[in-house]
Amino acid sequence: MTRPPPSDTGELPAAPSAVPSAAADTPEPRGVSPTRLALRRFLHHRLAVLGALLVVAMTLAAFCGPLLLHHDPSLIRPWLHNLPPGARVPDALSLNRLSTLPDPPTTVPASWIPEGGTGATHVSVAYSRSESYRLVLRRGRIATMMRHSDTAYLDTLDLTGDYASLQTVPEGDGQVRDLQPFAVAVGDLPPPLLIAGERVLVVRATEHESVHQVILHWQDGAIQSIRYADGGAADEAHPDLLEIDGSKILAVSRDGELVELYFLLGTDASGRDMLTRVLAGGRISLLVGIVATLVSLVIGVLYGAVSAYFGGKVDRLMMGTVDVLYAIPFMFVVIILLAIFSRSIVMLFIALGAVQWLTMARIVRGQVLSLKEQEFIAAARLSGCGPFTIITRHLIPHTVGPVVVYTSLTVPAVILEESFLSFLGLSVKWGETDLSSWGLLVNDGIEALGDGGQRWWMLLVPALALAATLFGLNAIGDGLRDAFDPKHAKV
Amino acid sequence: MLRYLAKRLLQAPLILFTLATLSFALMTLAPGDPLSSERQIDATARQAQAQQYHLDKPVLERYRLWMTDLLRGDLGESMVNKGVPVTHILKRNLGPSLILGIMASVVALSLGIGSGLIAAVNQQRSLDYATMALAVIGISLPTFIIGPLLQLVVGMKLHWLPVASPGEGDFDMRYWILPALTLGLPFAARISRLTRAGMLEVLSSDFVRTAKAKGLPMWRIIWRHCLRGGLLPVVSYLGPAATMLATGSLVVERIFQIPGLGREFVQSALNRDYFLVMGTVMLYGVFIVIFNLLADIAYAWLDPRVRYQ
Repeated sequence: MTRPPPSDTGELPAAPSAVPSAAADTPEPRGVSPTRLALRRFLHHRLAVLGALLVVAMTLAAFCGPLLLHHDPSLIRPWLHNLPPGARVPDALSLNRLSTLPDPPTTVPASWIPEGGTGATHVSVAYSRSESYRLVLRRGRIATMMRHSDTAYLDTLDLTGDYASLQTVPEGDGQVRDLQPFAVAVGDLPPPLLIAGERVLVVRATEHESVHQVILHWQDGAIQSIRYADGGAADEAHPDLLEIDGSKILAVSRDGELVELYFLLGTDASGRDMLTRVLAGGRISLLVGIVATLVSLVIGVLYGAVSAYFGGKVDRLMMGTVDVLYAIPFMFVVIILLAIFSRSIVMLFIALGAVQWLTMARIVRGQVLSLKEQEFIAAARLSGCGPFTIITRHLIPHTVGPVVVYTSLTVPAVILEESFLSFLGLSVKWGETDLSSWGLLVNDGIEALGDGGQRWWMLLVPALALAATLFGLNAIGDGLRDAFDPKHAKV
Repeated sequence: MLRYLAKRLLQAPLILFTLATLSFALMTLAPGDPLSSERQIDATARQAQAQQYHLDKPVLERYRLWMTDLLRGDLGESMVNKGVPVTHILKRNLGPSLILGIMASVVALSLGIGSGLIAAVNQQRSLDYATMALAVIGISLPTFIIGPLLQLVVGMKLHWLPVASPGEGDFDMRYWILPALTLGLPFAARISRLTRAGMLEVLSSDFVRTAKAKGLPMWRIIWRHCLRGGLLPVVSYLGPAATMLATGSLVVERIFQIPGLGREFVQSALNRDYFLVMGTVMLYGVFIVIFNLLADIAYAWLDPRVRYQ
């Protein structure tokens, strides 16, 4: 125990006090903690800082983005499939059944309902009519032609437009045969492919698509009236119930303004917004990466610390096991596990964590081996700490440096492995549904690419997201490694 | 050196034994009868099949049978392709995988060591930063992104190289360029970083300073004196690299439609063709163990310090 230094004033040194007089010394130099030093070195590493910013941005976007965007990543609207980035389409759901009062309409998009609840929404709908025509033949020629829906006779029948179905049903026969598009007039021979001798043909055909304007008047959020407005005939039929097929809606406007959906990065093969899907996929990928890394962290650190602390035979045995396990191609085992057992997210956490813990154990063991000989450990042992306390409270906290470095390098490795598995078709499931992580999105993108690469955005968007995140994480890992271990640094 | 090698030689059968046991454990623990996915066949045929696959015997007995069969080289018969021995299927698929592996290794080693050397010699200058940034990007891009991107750009847009393997037929180098690049680039990136780190350490040693002072040209210094020590991290990485190469080939073979072991493995795992799956895993295991041994021997040969352990 050192004596307190003589004071400047020349007084006799007082009896040794517990605390040396502070007024007598030069002020203690302010040290900098190793963490702060490491942080400073990290910030000098330009690539690492860039990577850190990228990762933070990506994480925020993945977890908060889908909440802010309007699109639902799981809503399938098949008629909106394969839209390129920047596409604008009218806002419509698949099947709208709109009714007038008194019941409120069903399945009307909220964006159609004007604020305040009053106003008019104009919908341009393309639809085609399907009509039955009856042709009476006499002596091998067409005698009369009539439309079934009304009783008007026709002189000519010209059905050369866009056909959904064109059939003939000879009278009494009941058989259905296909016809080519035809145009006939009264007096003509019947169209080819018909068996002579039949007297009546019933032909079903679909006409051109024509565009109709429908106006919905709202009040208090409910539809008051539905009217057709075609050209000048503004007061045509007022149906009580109107069924509109969402895939045929061409435009929706309200008070002169178009109501549209905007897809910044296009849609996938099922009509889901790519941007929202990629961000939501990021949640899964990042979650799997972090949790599986934590699993491997816990197992590896404990294993390595225990092995190094006890040393001797225990250490040899445990590290021998690690060496043997190291040579086993773990991804094969994981693939077998996932293919044969369940593909739940918990299974994935455990399987991927089990792949990575080996190197962590080795690193921690190396650290603890050198820490073990230090005096504070001996002091702890002398003061009666049991091995468990020494390991958890004294040894492990000092391994933080390399552990942090390796953890930050494990996360991208796990994300990579998860996307690798998704690519092979072993994506993670929640119950029965496939959770769409980035790997699965990349796989879908590859399949939907089209020869010549026409639908390039479906591959490029998730691929870029994945690559950027992995790049950022690897850069952070590099920066941390250089920060914690000056020998590796570029200084 | 002999003691070091003896330890590694003893580990090899242990690794294979663990792998065999692990495969067997997985197959036994799998839910459902391996034959349950079959169509409805009558009871006697079913019983005959069960007997053929030893499913009627207790677990330990099956384990013993599996191990003894393995030692004789009999890997059983495929359950999906009835009656076809697993070794037959493996032999058929081995060739393309070997070619892919060798070519990818060539790409990885040449590109990796070359760029690492360039970076180390030009330390702290723009060439160094550029190479290392490229290396980080190379590590970040997974094979299943590089592959389709190369296919898209080089194959479909530019039409320089064919996109997929034709399967059988003569060996045409052009079909292997893209797959080898795809598989080898991430490893090239890692090897590049390791080479740079190793070379930097060697280049800062005293004997290099002496050699420079004596006036030796840089390439001679590197070639004669530095390479041996500087490449040590690369050689010790070759072992785990073999494992990752095998894993990566699963994806590359799928992307480029190469009829190799990897594609066979994934298919059989999804089809639950247990014997084929285990046989493939064992074959991969043998390759990896051999490769690890070779890497260890190379390390011991290169690094004299090991010999005196």
